Amino acid sequence: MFLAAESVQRDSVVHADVVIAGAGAAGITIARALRGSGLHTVVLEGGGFDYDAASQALYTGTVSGSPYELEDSRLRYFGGTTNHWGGWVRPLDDADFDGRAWVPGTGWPISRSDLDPYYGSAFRMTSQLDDHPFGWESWLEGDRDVEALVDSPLLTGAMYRISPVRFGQAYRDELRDAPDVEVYLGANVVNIGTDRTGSHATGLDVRTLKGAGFHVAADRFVCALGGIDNARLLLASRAVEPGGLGNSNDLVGRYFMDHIEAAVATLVLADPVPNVYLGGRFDLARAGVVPTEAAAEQHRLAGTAFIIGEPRVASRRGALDGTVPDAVVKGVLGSLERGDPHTYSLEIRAEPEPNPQSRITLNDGTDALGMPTVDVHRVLTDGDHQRLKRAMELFASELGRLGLGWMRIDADGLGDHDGPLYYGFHHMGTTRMSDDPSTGVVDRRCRVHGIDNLWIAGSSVFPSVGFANPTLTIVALALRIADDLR
Amino acid sequence: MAGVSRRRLILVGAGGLVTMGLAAVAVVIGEERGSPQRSRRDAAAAVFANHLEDARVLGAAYLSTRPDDPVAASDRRVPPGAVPSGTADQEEWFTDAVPARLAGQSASGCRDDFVAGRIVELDGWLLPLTAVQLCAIVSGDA
Ligand SMILES: Cc1cc2nc3c(=O)[nH]c(=O)nc-3n(C[C@H](O)[C@H](O)[C@H](O)COP(=O)(O)OP(=O)(O)OC[C@H]3O[C@@H](n4cnc5c(N)ncnc54)[C@H](O)[C@@H]3O)c2cc1C
Repeated sequence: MFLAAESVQRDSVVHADVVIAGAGAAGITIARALRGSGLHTVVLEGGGFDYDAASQALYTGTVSGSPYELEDSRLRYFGGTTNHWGGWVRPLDDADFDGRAWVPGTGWPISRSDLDPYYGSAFRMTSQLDDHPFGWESWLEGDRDVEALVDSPLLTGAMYRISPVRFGQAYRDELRDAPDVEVYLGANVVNIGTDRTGSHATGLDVRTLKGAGFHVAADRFVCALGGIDNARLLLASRAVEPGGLGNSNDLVGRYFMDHIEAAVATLVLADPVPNVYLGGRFDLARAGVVPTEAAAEQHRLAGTAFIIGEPRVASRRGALDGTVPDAVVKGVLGSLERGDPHTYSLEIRAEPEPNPQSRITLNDGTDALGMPTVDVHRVLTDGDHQRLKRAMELFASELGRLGLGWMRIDADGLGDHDGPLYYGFHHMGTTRMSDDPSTGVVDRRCRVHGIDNLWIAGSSVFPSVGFANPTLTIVALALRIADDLR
Repeated sequence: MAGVSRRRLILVGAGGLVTMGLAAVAVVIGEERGSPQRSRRDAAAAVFANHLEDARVLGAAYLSTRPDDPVAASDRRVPPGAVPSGTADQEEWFTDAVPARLAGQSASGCRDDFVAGRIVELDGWLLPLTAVQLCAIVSGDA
């Protein structure tokens, strides 16, 4: 059932067995999974059913590291950021969980097999597609006429599925009809209360934009506010711990990561790239080129994928004519203008190294509810830049070795800290998972170290991130949390 | 976007086969791909196929950054390995060669360059030395 936070009596206390803060991909997944469990579940969602500028303004913050789009990379209403996500999903790989020894700080305390029981259900929640296995071989062997551009000892393929389910729309009726789930809209959580020791959460303080407020008391609490605001709420809850809840080791907000996603190259192929790499008629699946794990080890690469973009011939002429008196470009591309080989943009998607200096902190500002706002300080390391360059060189030399094509690295800044390295709008790492409280905020079950009844749902728990988009893993972890809450 | 002045050159290794006037012929090189039987054109063949003018431009660009290239600077002498063994007049064979005659060899020469790290970076392009040297040689004909 849906309720307006405004309608709750001011300063009253709402009781629940489980309370979930945030109704995005993670929060909706848990609420949905708890239907019929016998638990009285309350969901507190800051926004309403639709975009609202005043609600969105609560996400305002500052950026002090590399340029970053803070506000638009989150949506503050029911369904959360899935209201405009792209719907690309694929699970993390074994090596992402196991870690790559040559990339400092990577690896999870759990392995892929811990999430395998959940990935199937997670896939059915995040997409409306058939359950074809993700394994590259299964696509090549199947009856879908998938052809590999490259399948060598160094480069292989990885399949994404793409079907952007909008959680707020897809699961709205189910939550409305669930007798044991109450979803409060316009309910902004501004503080987590605990007992005097700070080891047991007792309640959440809720404010509405019209100035009302109430309290929710429960046995178990889940923060599912997204990868930035999970950290923000912990840091802002400082009644007992001055540095914020779960932050006795100064880890909350650190290790902020987003995927490095940048169109960095022009690719010249002798033949057209197989359709499945472009989407095209494979609009339900799209392949990327990835280094094999052997190549990743040999070349000391992080999780990396290459996504081949649309053919470039049309736009290239406009971009280059008259502006680049460059003999090389003209020499190589001149032949392309005649339509012989095939030119594409090439995008790299790579995992950054978990870096404690890359972080979310509270700045001096407050939002309309008086809650501290955040500063985002995202920095990549020298190692990140070197790995990107090595990955590009591997890709170029392997394609060249196979006679498939040649490549131009377009980004002059590749290798510079201020270079045009972009991001995927994936907020990760700020409440990282570790068995050891001195190196992580949550334990392997996503429960905050030192607090027996507070869970964190979302990609803030990712200790390292691979190259895959995060939401399928967010949902798998959320389903696992729901199992623990039952 | 970088201009000529910012062109950067890294030359890893040296030597390499020479290619030229590469024809757009089909070369079966698919043994490591998903569909081994498919016949594809080679990249070298495709990029420079019948486009001698483009090759000349590229070659001139290369020479402007590397005038001392051992092959290109040597009076356009055909480097070892560029011409099938037993060819009587190598120079003539080289300059008059029909692109199709060279295609297979150039393809493997360029591919070998990538294996051996003989990669020339010209304005961001990561190009096989073989192809670039060929362009440098033919650029003098312009
Ligand atoms: C343009 C774009 C494209 C994307 N494409 C992809 C993609 O293709 N594949 C992929 O895997 N991921 C993609 N993502 C990322 C994806 O949207 C997120 O990973 C996912 O939505 C995260 O789910 P979440 O539940 O953790 O957070 P969110 O979906 O952000 O949900 C958080 C919820 O908490 C609410 N909230 C926040 N603060 C409070 C508070 N204090 N009190 C109460 N409620 C609060 C918000 O209103 C929101 O409803 C994309 C993101 C963007 C911006």
